[in-house]
Amino acid sequence: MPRPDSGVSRPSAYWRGLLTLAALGGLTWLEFQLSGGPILALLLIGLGKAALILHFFMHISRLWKPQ
Amino acid sequence: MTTAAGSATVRARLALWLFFASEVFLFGALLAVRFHLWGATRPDLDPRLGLGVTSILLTSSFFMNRAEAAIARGDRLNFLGGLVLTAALGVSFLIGVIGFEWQGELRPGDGVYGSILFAMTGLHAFHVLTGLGFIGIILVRSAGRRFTPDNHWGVEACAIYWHFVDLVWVFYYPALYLMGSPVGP
Repeated sequence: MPRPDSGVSRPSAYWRGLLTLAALGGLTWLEFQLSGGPILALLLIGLGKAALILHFFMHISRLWKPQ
Repeated sequence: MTTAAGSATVRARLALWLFFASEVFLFGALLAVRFHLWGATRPDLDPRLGLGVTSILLTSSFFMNRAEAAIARGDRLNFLGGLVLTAALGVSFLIGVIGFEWQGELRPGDGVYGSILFAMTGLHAFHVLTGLGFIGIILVRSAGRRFTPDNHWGVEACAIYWHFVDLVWVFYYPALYLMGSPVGP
């Protein structure tokens, strides 16, 4: 049973992590296809991946919304 | 979160993020050196190896996230399994970088390409090694059941540190393997 104060059940946390990994994998494949291409495009993809990691893996929002 | 322990966790979390801010300057300085000295070129590395080690590191972050979510719910089996898989993938990443990339034609003394490649990958690999040590400490401490759903700041700190190392590689990978035209050995 989910902890009553956790707010997130384990399956949803699992699937959220899996979807994040899938998104990161897709972006990594995209930048691999752009190898040698525009540096700005590769940088923007990197920033997108960083945002995903910061939000879904590092939970940066806990800094201003402590659980 | 109004308890004393909760306040301590909030302060510790803030301190950890401030540490990351200082780390950003360290890793960012090497990235700036790469763009200044390499410009729109890069050493002729195998991008498939870069893709492989990047995939390994991203997958390790998934398992670390799973481990953290598991301990928050008191699920020790998935917590320990996630940590062990994360460590195994971290070791695989190091084997890919040190055992394969560092054994290529390019040496640390080969001008700006060799020196920057080894400086960037070396600094990052050292942080991965530190993260593995951190995971080892967490595993040892978890044997004494020190971490509970209500008290697992150590696990959270370890997870955030691991994800930060992953975050750095998100920028190092394209800078080393993908950006610019390949030149030299």
